[in-house]
Amino acid sequence: MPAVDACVARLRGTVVGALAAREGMNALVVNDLSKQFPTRSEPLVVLRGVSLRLDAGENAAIVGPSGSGKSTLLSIIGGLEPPTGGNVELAGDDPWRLDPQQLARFRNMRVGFVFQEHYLLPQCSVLENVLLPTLAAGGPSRQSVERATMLLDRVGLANRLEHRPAELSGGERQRAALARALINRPLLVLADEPTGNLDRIAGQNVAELLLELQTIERTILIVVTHSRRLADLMQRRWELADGRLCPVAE
Amino acid sequence: MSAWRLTINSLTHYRWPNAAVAAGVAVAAAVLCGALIVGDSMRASLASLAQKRLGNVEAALIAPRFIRAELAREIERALAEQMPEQAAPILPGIVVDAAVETSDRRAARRSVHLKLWAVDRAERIFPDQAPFPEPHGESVVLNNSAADRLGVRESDAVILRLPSQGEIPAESVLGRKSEPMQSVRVRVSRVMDDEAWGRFGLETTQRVRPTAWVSRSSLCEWLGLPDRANVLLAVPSAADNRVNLAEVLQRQLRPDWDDCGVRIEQSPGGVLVVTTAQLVMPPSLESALRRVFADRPIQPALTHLANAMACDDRSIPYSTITAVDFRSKPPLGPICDVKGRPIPPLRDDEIVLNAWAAEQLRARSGDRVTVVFFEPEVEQGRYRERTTAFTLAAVASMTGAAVDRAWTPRVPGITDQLTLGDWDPPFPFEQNRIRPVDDDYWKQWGPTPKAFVSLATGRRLWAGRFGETTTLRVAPEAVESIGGRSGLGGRPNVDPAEVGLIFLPVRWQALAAAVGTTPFQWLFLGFSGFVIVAALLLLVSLFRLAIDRRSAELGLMSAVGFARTRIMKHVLIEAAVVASLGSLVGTALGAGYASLMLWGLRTWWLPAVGTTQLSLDVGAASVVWGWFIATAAALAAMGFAARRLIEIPPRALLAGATSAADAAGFGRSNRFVLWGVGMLVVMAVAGAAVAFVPERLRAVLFFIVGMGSWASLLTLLYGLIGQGRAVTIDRPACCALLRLAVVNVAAKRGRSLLSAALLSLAVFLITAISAFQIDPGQFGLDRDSGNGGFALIAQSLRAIDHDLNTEQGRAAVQLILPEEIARKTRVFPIRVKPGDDASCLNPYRISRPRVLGVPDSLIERGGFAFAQAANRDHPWRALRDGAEAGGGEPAENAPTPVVIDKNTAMYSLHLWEGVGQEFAIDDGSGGQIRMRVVGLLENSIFQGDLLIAESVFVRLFPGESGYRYFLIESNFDAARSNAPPPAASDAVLRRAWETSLSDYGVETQTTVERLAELAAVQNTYLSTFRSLGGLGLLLGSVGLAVVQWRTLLERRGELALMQAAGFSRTRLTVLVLCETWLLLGAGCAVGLASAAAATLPYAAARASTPWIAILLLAGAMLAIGSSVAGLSAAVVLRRSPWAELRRELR
Repeated sequence: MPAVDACVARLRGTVVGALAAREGMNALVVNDLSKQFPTRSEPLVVLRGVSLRLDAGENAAIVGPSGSGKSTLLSIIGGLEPPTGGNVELAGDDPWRLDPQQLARFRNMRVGFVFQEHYLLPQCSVLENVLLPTLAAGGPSRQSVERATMLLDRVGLANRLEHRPAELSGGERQRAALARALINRPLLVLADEPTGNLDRIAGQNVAELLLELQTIERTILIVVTHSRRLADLMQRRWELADGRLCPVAE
Repeated sequence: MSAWRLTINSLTHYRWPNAAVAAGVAVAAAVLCGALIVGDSMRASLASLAQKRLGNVEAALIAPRFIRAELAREIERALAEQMPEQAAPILPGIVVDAAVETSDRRAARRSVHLKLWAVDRAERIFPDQAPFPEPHGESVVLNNSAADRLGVRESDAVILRLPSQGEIPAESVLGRKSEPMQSVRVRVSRVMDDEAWGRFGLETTQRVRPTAWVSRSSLCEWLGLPDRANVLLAVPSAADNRVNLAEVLQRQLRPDWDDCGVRIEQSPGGVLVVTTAQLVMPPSLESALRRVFADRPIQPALTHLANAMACDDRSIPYSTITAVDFRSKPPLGPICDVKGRPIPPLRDDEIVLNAWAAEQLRARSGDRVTVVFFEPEVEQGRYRERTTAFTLAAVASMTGAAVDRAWTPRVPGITDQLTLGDWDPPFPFEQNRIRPVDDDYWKQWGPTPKAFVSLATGRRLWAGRFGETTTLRVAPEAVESIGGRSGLGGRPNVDPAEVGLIFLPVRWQALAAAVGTTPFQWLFLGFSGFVIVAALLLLVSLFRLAIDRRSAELGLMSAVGFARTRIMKHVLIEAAVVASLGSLVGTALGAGYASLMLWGLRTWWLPAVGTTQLSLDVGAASVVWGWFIATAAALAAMGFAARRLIEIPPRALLAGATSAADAAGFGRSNRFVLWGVGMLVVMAVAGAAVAFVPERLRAVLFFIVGMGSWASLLTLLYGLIGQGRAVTIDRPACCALLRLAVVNVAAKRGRSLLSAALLSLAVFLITAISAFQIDPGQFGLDRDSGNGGFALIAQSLRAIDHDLNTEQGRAAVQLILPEEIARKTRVFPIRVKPGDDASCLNPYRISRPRVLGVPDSLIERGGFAFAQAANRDHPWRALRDGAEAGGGEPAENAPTPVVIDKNTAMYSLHLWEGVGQEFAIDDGSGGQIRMRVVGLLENSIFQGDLLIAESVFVRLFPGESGYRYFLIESNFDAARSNAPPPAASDAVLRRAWETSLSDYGVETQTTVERLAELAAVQNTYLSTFRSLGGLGLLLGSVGLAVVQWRTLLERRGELALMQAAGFSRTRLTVLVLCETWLLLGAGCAVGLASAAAATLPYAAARASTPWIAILLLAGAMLAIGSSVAGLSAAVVLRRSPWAELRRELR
C-alpha cells in the first residue's frame, strides 16, 4: 500500500534522521590540538595542530612510530592530560573547560579506556572490576549489575564473575577491561594498544570483540596500535608523525 | 560492589604492607600512650607515697606550743558523744627536730639530724602493718635511713640530742640563747624498714628522712614537760569517718587557757591578770583575749626590766618598770600617791616611782630620773643598752594596785628565784651591783614594779615584733564565767585558730600536692617526641612504599572517573582502619613502654624523682586519648603522604610515577633553595631577638628558632638535592662516580630527604637539648654565678643567736677557727621559716615553701646571677624597695617583695609571668601571705626557697628567732699570703663548723655540692631525653633500612644493567655507599647547624654540651646507615644480572 509505505519511509527517515542528528550531536571534534613538554633544554613538541572528527558509531585507528605522541593524543582526548593548545569537544562538551569534579564525571560517563596494561584491581573480582566505574557515581544500581553481567557474558567471561584477575589469562583480563570500559555506556572508547600485551590469537579475539561491542553500543572508538591487522579493521586510519595527524592512504 | 567492599578487599589483599604500616602506627601509639601512662603512674605513685607516709592519719593539729595531751582525749570523747558516726581516735604526740650521735668513742663520731616522733598508740597509724615496735623507757627505734647513716644496729647505744624548749623567744631580751642541747643516752631497740612508721611524716616529700621513735612519756620526762604534746593526729578507722574530718574536729576543739598559752591569776585585789609564757603576747593572742573579755574593763600593760634607775648620782639596779595607763576607778585602779591621792594618767615624759624606789633615789616630784635598759630585741647576741630620762611626776604609795606582783609576768630563772643573787638571766648580769637592800626588796615585794610610765611611752621604748603587751588586767566580775580563782580553769570563748590551734586536712593536702609540679605526661611526651616523630616518619615511609605500588590503581580510578577527593577519601578510609588497629595494638604496648620508663626512673634516672617507689597505673583516659591522638597523627601523616601522590596527574600515575617531581620535572628546585634561604634569614632575626624577649618566652623561642632553622635547612637541602639533576655525567670530569651518586640521590628527592631528615632531627634535638646540661663546678666561686661566690652553706637545727663574724660571737658558741682563716671568712646569717622543699628535688606541689630572711649585709653585698630583676643595677635591693613601690599601699598591706630561683618560680610555683607577678603562700596558721616577685635567680643554691628581706621577715614571722641558715664566704689570695690554698681552707672551715657547732645540729654543704644536687635533676632529665633520643635513632635506623632496602630493590634492573655494562659489584657498592654518605653527611650537617643556631644564646652561659657523645651518636648513625646500605647492596647484587634484566623485559 503506497500510503503505508510512504508513511514507513517517512518514519524511517525521521528515525534515521533523528539518529543521524543525535549521532552528530555526540560527535568527537578535535581542533588544532597541540602539546609540548618542558625538558632541561627546549620544550619537546609532541602534537602540532591535530584536528579530527568522528561521529557516533565511527571508529578509527591512529598509528605511528614509538614516541610519536599517539598515547598523548589519546590522553588529551580522554581528559587525562591537558593540551597546550587547541580544544576537544565530545557531544558539545570541552572537557578542558570543566572543573576537576566535572572533568572526573566527564571521564566517568562519557569516556571508556582500554589500556595496554589491563589495570584490573587485584583485590576485586572480575564483576567488581567491571563495576568499578559505577562507584565513582555513588555505587552500582541493579541495572548496572545486570549490564555488567551482560557485558561479561558478551566477552565470554560469564562463568568467571567471581574470579580474581590473578586467576585469568592475559586475554581474559583484557576482555574484562573491555567490559569495564563500556559499563557506563560511554560515548567514546579510547583503546591504547589494547592487544599490545597479547598473543596473536588473543589479540585477534579482543580486537573483534572491541569492534563488535563498539558497533552494538554505537560508541566512537579510537584505537592506538602498532598492529597493522588491528588498524586494518578500522573504518579510518590516521598516522601521527612529527606531531601531525594525517590520514593513511588506503 | 560498594565503596566499603572495595576498602575491605584492599585491606585484605594488601594485608602485609598494611600490617607493616600498622606496626609503625603501633610504635608511635605505644610511645604516646606510654608517656601519658607515665604521667598517670607518677601522680598515682606520688599519691600512694603520700598515703604510705601518712598511714591512717586524716587530719593533724600541729601546735605552736606544747599543749595538754589530755586535749586529745577530750576531743575524742566529744566526737564520740556528739558525732558517733565520725568518731576517730585522736593520738597525742610530740615531734621535734633532733640529732642522734654515735656514742662509741673509739670510732669517729657520726651524727645525723632526724625527726623524732613520740606518739601514744602509734600502732593505730598503720593498723594493717606489723605491730609497732613500741619503744619504752630509754630506748629508741630508728628507721633504716637513720641507722645506715649512723652505722648502728639494734642494741647499740646512741646519744639523743634534744633541743631545749624555752617559750620566750630567744631574741627577746629575756629569751634564752644558745641553750645547750640535752643529751640522753638511749639504746636502739629496733631498726625498722623505711616503710610505715619508718617513713611517717607530715612534710610533703617523697624522700625518706631519718626518723626515730621514742615513747612520749620518756620524751616528756627528758624535756621536763608534764604530759604534753605538740601534735594531735586523727586516725579514723573507717573511710566514712574521713569526710571533712578536719572541720569536724576543729568544731570540737575546746582548748583551755593552758592550751592557748595563757595564764590567768587573780591578784589580791581580785583583778584577773592574764599573761603568757612567751612573756610578750603575740598580737593575735592579745586580739583574741580582748574579744573574750570584750564586755569587761581591760587594762593592758607592758613590763620591762630596767638595768638601772638613777637620780643624780644615786642608782638602783635591776628593777621592773611597768608601762600602763592609770585607771581612776576600782578594781583596775587607782594608783595613789603617798598622800593617798589618785595619780592621774601620765604624760609621755613622766615617771612614777614607788615609795621604796623614790626613797632609795631620794627623788622628789619634778626630779629627773634616768632609766637604763636593754632594747627589747637582741640581734645576734648583741644586747644594746639605752638610756631615757623622765620627770618624776609622783611617788606611789606601797599599797593597792601599785604593789601587785602580777604586773610582772613569770620569767623562769628570774621571777622564780628567792633572791636577786640567784637570778640566772640570759643577758649580761652584774651581780656585784646588787645591794643587800635590793635583795630585801626582792624578798618582800618580789618582781613588783618599782616604777610606772605611760603605756604609750612603754610601747614606744619596749614594744617590738613580739608584741606590745605583757599583761592584761581584767575586771574581776568575769570570775564566774571564767571559772576558778587561780590557775587555769574553764574554756576560753576563743577561736582556736586565733591561738594557732588548727586541725589541718593533711591527707587531703597531701593528695592535692600529689598532682605534682611537673606534668610528667607532657615531660615524657616531650622526651619521647623524637621517638614518636621517628615512628611517624617510619610509618610515612612504609605507607608511601605500600601506596607507591598502587600508583597505577590510583591512576586507573582517576581515569574511570573518580574525582581526586573521592580517591583521597578511599585512601583515607583504608588508612584510618590501619591507623585505628595499629593504635589499638600500640595502646596495649604503651603499658610496656611506660613500665620501661618507670624502671628507668627507679634506676638510671633516680635523681630525677628521688624515689624508687614508682608503680604502673594505667588510666582509662590516657589510653583513650593515646589511642585517639596516635590514630589522628598517623592518619594525618598518611593523608599528607597520600595527598602528594594523588596530586600527580592520572596518566603519570598509570605510568608508575610516585612523586610530583618525577612527573613535573626539576623546575621547582630553585624555588626550594630560595625558600630555604629566606626562612634561614627569618630564623636568624628571630634568634637575635632572644635577648629582647621576656624570660618566660625564651624557651619557646628557642624551640621555634631551633625547629625553624632545622626546617629551613631541610628545605634548602631539598632544593639542593633537586638541583643535583643538573649534574651531568655526559662529559669528562672528575669524581664521575660521586657525580652519578648525586644524580641518583636527586632522582628520588623525597626518599633522600627522609633519610637526611631523620638523622638531622636526632642530631639537632640531642645537641640542642644537651646545651642545657649544667656543670655546677664550671664557674668556680664566682660572685655572679649561682653560688654567689660562697664556698659553704651551713644549716642548723637550733637557731644561733650570735654574730659569728666577731670573736665574741664565735667564742659564745665555741666556734674555733685558725686566725688566718677567721680573718678572711665572712658569715651571712639568714633567718628560716620552715616549710616544704619547693626545689626540683621534690615532685610534689608545694603550697608552703620555706622562707628565708635575707640580712641587709647580703643585700648590700649582692652577688648571684639574676635571670630577671626589678632593679637591674642592684637586684637584691628590690627586696627592700619593693614595699614602697607597692602601688601606694601601706607597708603592712603591700605584697612582700620576694626573690626566687627561676626554676622554682616557673616549675614549682608556676609563676610564669616572672618579675611583677603576685601570689600567695600559706603562713602555716590558716592564713595567707601575699608576695610579689622582684627577682629571679639563675640556677642558684636557693632553689626551693623564697627570699625576703630580714626586716620584713621579722614582721611576718616574729616567732622565728635566730638564724639557722648561713652563707660562708672565704676570700683567699694565696699569692699574697702563706695560707693554704682555698680548697683546703674550705675543708678546715667545714670541719670546724660541724665539730664546734654540733650542739646546734649544724650540717654543712659546699655550694658546688648543693648545685650538683639540684643540677642532677635537670641533667638526669637531659640524660633521659638523650636515652630516648637514642631509642628514636634506633627506630629511625630501622626506617632508614626499610627505605634503603626498598629503594635498592626498585633499582634492581638499573643495577643489573650497570653490571651488564661492566660495573663491578664493588664499584656499585661504593656508588650506593656514596649516595648514603651524601645523605647522612647532609643530615648531620643540618642537625648540627640548626642546633648551633638555636643554642648560641645559651652557649655563653654554659658550655657543657657533650660534644663527644653527640659525635659518637652521629658516628653510630653513619655506621648503621653505611652498614645497612652496604648489606642491602651486597644482597641485591648477589643475583645474576641477566636474571634481573629478563625480569624487566618480561
